[in-house]
Amino acid sequence: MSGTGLAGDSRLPEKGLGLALEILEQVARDDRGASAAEIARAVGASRATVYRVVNSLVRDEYLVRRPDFSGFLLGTRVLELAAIVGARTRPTHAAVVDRLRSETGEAVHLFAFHRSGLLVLDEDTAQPLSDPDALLADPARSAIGHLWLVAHPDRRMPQAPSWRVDAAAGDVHAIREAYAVRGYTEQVALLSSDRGCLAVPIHDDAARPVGAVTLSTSISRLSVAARHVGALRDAARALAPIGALSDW
Amino acid sequence: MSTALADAIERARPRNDLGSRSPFAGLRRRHAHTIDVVAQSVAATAPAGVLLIHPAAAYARSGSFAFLDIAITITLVVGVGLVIGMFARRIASTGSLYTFAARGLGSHVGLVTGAALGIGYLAVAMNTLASGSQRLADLLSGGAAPPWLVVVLITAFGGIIALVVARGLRMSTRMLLVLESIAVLTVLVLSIAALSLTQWDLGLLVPRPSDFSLEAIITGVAFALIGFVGFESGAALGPETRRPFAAVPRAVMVSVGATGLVMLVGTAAQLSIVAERPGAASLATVTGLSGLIDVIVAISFLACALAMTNAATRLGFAMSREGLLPATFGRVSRRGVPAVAGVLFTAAVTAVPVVILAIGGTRQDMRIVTSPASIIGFVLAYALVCAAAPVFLGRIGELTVRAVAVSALPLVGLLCVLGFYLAATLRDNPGGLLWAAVFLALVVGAGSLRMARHPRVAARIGVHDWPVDSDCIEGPART
Repeated sequence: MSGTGLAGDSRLPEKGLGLALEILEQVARDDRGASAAEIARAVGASRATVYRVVNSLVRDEYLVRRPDFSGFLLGTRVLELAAIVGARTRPTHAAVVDRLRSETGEAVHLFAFHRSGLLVLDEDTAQPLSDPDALLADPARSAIGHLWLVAHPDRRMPQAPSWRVDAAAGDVHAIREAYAVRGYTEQVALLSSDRGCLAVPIHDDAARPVGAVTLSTSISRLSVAARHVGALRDAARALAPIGALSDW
Repeated sequence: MSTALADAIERARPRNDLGSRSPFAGLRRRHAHTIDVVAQSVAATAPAGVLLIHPAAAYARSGSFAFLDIAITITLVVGVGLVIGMFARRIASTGSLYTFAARGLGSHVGLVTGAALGIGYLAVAMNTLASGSQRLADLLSGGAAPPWLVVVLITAFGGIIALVVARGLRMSTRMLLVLESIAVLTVLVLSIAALSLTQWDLGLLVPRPSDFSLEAIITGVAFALIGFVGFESGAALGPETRRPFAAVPRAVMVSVGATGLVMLVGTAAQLSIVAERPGAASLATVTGLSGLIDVIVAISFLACALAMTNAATRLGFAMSREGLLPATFGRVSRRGVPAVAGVLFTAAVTAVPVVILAIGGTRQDMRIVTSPASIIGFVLAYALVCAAAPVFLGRIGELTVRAVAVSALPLVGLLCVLGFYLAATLRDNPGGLLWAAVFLALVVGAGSLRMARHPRVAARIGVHDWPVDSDCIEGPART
C-alpha cells in the first residue's frame, strides 16, 4: 500500500480503467489472439484479476473470444473508445508540450513508461521521430530507452515484451551512472547518424518515474541543447500530476 | 497516438480470418433484452402452478422439514445457476447446456446432455399442456370433463403455442411475462392472505428434530427441484439477446431469485395452512377460491408449455446446424425465427397427449413416463454441466479454485438427488423409469450412430454464436 521504492514501482495500476486499457493494448499487439494467461503475464497482474477484467471487457463486447476460445481479439466496440483514448492522451498535457516546442524550437516528444516498454503519448508532428520502430524495439539506442532502463532495472525480456532487443548488463550500468551525474540521459547518432537527443524523466507524486519529455536536435546543435534542460525539467514537473491521474 | 490499441482504432479494419457467417446465420440476433430472458426462464419454472399443487404433497412427504427442503433446493439451484453463468459469460448458443457440456466434456457427453435436456423440455411441455387444458376443461364443464373436450383444448392451445413460437421470440417472451406475472401476483396475494389468516405463525416452518430423516430430506429436495427445472432455459436465448454475456448470466440468476422468493413465501403460506388445519390441504380449500386457483394453475402451466417448447426449439435448432438433426430444424423464417422446428416440436408436444386420450388413456398414463423422464433429464443435464465447467475453464486456461468449488458443490448435491430419485422411482414406478431410460438411450444411440457415420457432424458438435469478421477489428499491421 505504501507504494514506495521498487515494490511500489512494480505495482500495476489495478484500478479499473488503467488495467482495462493495458489489457486492450496487449490484445491489440497480439494479432493472433492473446490468451488470458498470456495477457496476465504481459501486464504483470494476478491471473484472477485479469480474468475478471477480461470477462467484463468481453461482457461489454470490447473484447471478443476466438471461436475456439484460444484467445481474445479486439471487438468492434473498441471503436467507441476512440474519443477516450484521444482525450486520455491529448488535451491534459498538450499545452505544456506545445509551449516547450515553441520555446525551444526543437523536436519535443512526450513518452509514458509502460511496464513492458514505451508508449508514445505525443509525437512532434512538425518534426517526427526519425526511427520510431528502432526506438520502440531497442532501449539501448535512445535517450528515452536509457531512462526506461534506469527506471526498470530488474525488467528484461520477456517480461518487457515490447522490446525486441535486450540491453547488455554492462551498458545498463554505464547508463545508470551517467544518469546519476546529469539527472537526464543523452543519445548521439545511435538512431539516426545526424541526430541526437536528451530525455528528462517525469516523476509522479510518489517519486516514481512514469514517463519522460525528450528533445531531439541535429548533432551540430546538440552541445548547446543542454541550455534547454531547465525548461524540460519545469515541463516534467508540470506534467507529474497528469502521470499520477492517468495511470501511465 | 501510436499505441497498438490507438493504431487499431484509427485504422478500424475488420478482420478477415474468422469467416463471414456465424453457425447460427439467419437467426435474428441480438434483439431481445434481459427481461425476455427472465420471462423465458421464470415461465419455464412455472412457480405459480407448481406452488399451488405442490406444498401439500411436500408436507406429507417431509413433515416439518418441507420448508428446509425448499431452502436447500434454492441453494442447489443457485449453485447450478452460477455454473451456467460461467458458461453463459463465455458462450452464446441456442443449445445452452448441451453446447456447454459439449465444450467441456466432448461431443458424446454433450450428446447425452442435449438428449436429456431435450427429453426434459418436451416431457414437461406435454405434462403442462395436458394438465392446463384438463383443468380448464373441468372448469368449463363444471365437473370431470369429457375426454373430447380436453382433446379439443389441448389441440387449440397447441395451435396457439405453435403460432406464438413460430411468430417470434419477443412475441412469446412478452406473452410469457404477462401470463406468469398475473399468476405469480395472484398466488402471492393469496399466500399473504392465508398467512394473515393463520396470524403469521412461522413457528410451523422451523424443523422439528423428531421429523428428521436424511432420506426424507433428499427426497423432499428432489421433489422441490421439480419446481425449479426450466430456470436454465433462458440461456438458449443467448444469440438472440443483446449483450448476451452480460444479459444471460444476470437473467438466469434473477429468475432463480424471483422463483425462489415466490416459492419460499408461497410454501410458508401453504405449510402454515396445512399445519393449522390438517383437513384442508391447500390454499384452494381455505380461501374457497378453487375455481380461480384452477385458472391460475392452468395459465401458469400453459405458459410453461410455451416456454419449454420455445427452449426445445432452440436446442433442436443448434443440433440441426451441427448436422445432428435434419436441416429442416435449422431453417429460419423471414423474421429470423426457427419456425419450422417450433411447429414440429409443438406438434409432437400436442400429439402425444391427444393420442393417449384418444385411445382411451388418461393424463396419469402419460405422466407415468413423462414425470421420471423430465426429472431425470433435467437433473442429469445439470449434473453434466457442473462436471463440464472446470474442464472447460481448464481447457481455455481460465480455471480458478473458486470455479472448482462452485461447480463441485452442486454436482455432489445433484448426484445425491439423482441417486435417491432413481432409487425411489425404481421402487414406486419401475415401468415409467424403464420407458424414460429407453427414450434417452434411443436418442443418444441415434445421435452416436450419426456422429460415427459422419465425422464432420461429430467435429461440429458444440457450435456457438462465435464472432465473425465484422465483429472484430484487426490489430496494427505487423512488421
